[in-house]
Amino acid sequence: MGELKTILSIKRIRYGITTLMILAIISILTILITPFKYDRITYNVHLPPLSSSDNIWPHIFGTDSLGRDVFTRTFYAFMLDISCGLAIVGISGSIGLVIGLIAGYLGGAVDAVLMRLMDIVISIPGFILAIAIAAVLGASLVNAIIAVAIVTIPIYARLVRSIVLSVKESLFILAAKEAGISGVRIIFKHIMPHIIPMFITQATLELSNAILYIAALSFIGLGVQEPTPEWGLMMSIGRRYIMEAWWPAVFPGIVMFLTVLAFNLIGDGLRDYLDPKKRFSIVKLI
Amino acid sequence: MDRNIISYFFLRLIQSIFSILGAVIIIFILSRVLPGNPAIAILGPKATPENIERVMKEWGLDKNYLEQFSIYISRLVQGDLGNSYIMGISVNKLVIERLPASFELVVFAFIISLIIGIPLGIFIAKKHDSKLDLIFSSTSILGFSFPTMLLGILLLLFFGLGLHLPVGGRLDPRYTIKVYTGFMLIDTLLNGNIAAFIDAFLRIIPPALTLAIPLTCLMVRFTRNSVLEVMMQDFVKTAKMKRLPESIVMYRHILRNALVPIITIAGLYFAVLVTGDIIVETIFAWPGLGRLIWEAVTLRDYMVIQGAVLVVSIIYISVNAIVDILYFYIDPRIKG
Amino acid sequence: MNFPRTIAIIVILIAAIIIASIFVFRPGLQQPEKIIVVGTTHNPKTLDPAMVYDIASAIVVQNIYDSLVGYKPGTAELAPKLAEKWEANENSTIWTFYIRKGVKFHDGTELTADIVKYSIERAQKLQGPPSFLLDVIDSIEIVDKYTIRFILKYPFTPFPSLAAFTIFAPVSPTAENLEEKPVGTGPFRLESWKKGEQLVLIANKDYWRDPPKTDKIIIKIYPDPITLRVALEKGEIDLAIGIQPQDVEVLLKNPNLKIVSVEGLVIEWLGMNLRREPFNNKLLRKAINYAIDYDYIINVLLRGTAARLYGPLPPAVFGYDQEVEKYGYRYNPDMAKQLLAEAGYPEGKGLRELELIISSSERAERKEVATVIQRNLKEIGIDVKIVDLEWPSFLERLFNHDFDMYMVDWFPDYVDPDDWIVPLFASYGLNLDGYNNTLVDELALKARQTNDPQLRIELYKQLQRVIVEDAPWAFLYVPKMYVFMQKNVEGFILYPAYYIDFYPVYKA
Repeated sequence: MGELKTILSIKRIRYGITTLMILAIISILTILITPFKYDRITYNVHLPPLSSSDNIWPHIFGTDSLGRDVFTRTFYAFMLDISCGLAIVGISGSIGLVIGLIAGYLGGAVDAVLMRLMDIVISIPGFILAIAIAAVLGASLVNAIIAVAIVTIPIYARLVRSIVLSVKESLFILAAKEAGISGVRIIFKHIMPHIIPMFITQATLELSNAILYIAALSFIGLGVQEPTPEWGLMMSIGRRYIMEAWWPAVFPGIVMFLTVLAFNLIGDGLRDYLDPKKRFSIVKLI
Repeated sequence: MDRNIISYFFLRLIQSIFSILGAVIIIFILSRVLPGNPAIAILGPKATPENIERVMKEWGLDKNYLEQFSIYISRLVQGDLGNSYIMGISVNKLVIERLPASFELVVFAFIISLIIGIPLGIFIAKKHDSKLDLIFSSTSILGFSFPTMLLGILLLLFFGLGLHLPVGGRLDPRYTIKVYTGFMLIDTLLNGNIAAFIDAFLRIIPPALTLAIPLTCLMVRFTRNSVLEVMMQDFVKTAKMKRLPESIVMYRHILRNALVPIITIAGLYFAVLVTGDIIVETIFAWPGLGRLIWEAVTLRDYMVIQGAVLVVSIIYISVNAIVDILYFYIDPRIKG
Repeated sequence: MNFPRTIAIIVILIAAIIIASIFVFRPGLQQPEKIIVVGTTHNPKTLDPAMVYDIASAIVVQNIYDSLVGYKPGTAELAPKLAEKWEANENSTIWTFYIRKGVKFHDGTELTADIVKYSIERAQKLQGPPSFLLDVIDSIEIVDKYTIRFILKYPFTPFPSLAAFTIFAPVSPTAENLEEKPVGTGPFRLESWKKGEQLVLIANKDYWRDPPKTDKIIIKIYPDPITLRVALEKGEIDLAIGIQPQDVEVLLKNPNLKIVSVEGLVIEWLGMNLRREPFNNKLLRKAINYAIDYDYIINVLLRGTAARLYGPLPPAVFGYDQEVEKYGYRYNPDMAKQLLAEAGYPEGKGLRELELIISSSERAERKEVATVIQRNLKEIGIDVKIVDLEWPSFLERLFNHDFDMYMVDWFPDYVDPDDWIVPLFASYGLNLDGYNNTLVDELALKARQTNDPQLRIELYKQLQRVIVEDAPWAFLYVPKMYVFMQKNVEGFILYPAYYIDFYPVYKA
């Protein structure tokens, strides 16, 4: 618990968590009590921010090209995008973890094969590969998540493997092996504790990356479908009208920016705390 | 030591070749399993099965995948990326036309972010733990959290309609410029056309800034962190105790060591960016590789997809390999 | 060595160059030649008439090559071009074209009937995407040096309008590498082409009419319509093709700009899969037709840049029956609910979620139109899921009949009602929807084979009524075609058949 306190004492982490909490609370409240339906089309097209509506609430962020309330849609999208981010990090993180552990611990041919496989995934620039996979699977939210998850697996696999390699030869693990403790036990008891901190840090940073990815895929039309509110999709439609009405594109962009910023702040703070020497300053793959 | 590097070099070379081979296969498979085909893409709603069949036959796409792949490989080893089905011209030519555009944009963006990012990073590191440090460190995170799709369009409107500067494309089409290198900024100068150079220069700024803003922020952060890290090390403290002038400590001892990781990171980012940013290239009508790939994907022009992505992958893999080798050379403790 | 000072100097120098270039050197472009810069979102793919089958490429090819037949200015009515006149035998199976004398290719070769034959046979041999249009031709005969005869496989009245298609454009027999170096008889020749970036056309001084009024046409490609609009407003381009519908209203208020528009021939509709439940139920299809708020789509969303489509034919085509505007479907949600109940699905009970596939890559506004339809149908109780696919994926599902509903547009290859009715509604056509009505099949065949215009009008009138009554589609709208230009650009004429002619354009 003391550790948690120290972590929370890092300003960046505190700011990040506060921002996220505020956004999450607004989002939950919006979903619960908004008088506007996110897909209700009206004739009140492109009302500017803070325009009054027939309801008690004004259109805080204005309305979009189909007369829908941008505030409601933006905060519905918050939940969707965060869930997408979590799903992506969950899938690619756990697969990457397993691959990294196996490759690092077993070494030899298994390691070579798995890592070459990862190299191949990395050899094609991430966004292009994600586009290709999403296009093959067909445009939908689930497929976009799968595409991004596949592309980001090597990040975790490489990270985990390098940590495993660095602790595998340490005395206590050699001793544990000597004592005949099973591999699985060694991994869970002795290696995992070394992996978890860096893994969580990387996952936090990747969460922001995943959100940007999903938004970019939806932006070019390979992700979430109308009328589901999603930031990338909202921006891609909103920007077509940007010279007439800036709000349907800019507000989702700002909220998305704040969310990504919050995750970056937390991840950055965690990294400074857990790995002050930055041995594993892994570059985000754009 | 030297032998170590040479063996590492060869190891990395072999790995890279394997990666490229893997990429060739993956791209081939991915492009073929994409739903639809080039004939369908061009024929549109009027593509009856007979029409599709005869166009596909004409293009040699009625053969099975293995045959197509072996034809592709046999041409590839001769350095021939094949012909675009839809445009009827050689992919080599297409890629060579497009590559300099992406390259020029990325190099320009890089120069901006290195020139601003590194000095600013050093400056902040010197003032670390001050208010200034906090402000700059936080703003630098802001920079790479901003979505490019929005940043791009805002910069386009700001430069184009706000400042009344030329935007879109690489050069005003009314200038006739003889192409020597494919790099517009160099070609305009070689043509001795100062007006065209200025036009090209102004046009490259907004797209380059769209790429450079996040990159600069990243550079600031990395520079700050790695300078700080070196400053904490013993030899620096010794140097300071020896009362060497501060500037000499800074540039001879600290920077030389701190620049290594910075260059590494910069190299990796360069590898990613040079593959062409589809969104930025679309917004600024920039005829780069990213757009070529996207256009080819939407037309299912297999040969262009394969060729362009392969070239991009080769650049990407080689830059990565060079960075790794450089890193190994500098710090042999690190193993890939 | 002083590292920061060097960097500071570099930064200051660069800043100085930027500032200087902004404020000091803003050199005006000297233009001794008459140049028109055309900005467009359309990216041409190929310039070989035997291969061209997309609007983007056709726009350019039409200016480098001439077809046998052209259009009267601003209309879809046929006019002589490379063929001075043409005639058919009694049952429209043999067509004789009289080629204009003294027409020269860009390389100096003179146009003869032999070359026309060679060009069409070349296209048949190349088997490019549009080659199916030549399937109607059985053989080609040379009558004399300037007379050519097409013998058709079956009676086909609209043949002259087919001959206006780019695949009927003669190519120079001495030219090699037509993909990159086109040689035609058109008013312009290609000077350079940077793929995906720009094309430069220069005037053909030996054109068979007067030489064009502009020396050079530069076509610059803007993949993003917002960038195109910015370039137009800033005056960087003289002519803009591909401005988005929602920008039209604002740009019309700009005193430096003007618009040329024409009612198009493209139709946009919502198709349904009649092979499947629940669309085999005519009442349900009618309910959908009544449920859509056409006024919202056309006036609010498309800002009046489209006209309502009431039946299978767009208003600008021969054979269009104005009556259709009276008996066609209008927005009436109560009627829709009632019909839905009569169809056996009161308030949508018993209906599964229906999938609407679209592809918004070519027409971005389609995504929002689909969203409006989705919401309209939800209001009468029909749940719809939109799936926006890329173009080839969309088409593949369309041809495999793997859809509930789809939205697409149709561009005619030849301007005759035959090119809407037969492919889209006859069971021997493309039959996308699985619509099958023997009366439609018979009438369409009859109309195609008759030479008597009055009888054809009667037949198409009947066809429109039958099709609207069966409601295989929800008929949506006809997008207008429009081109924006600077005030000083003169002479531009737009043709409904998406023929963009730079020949008469000049800058005042």
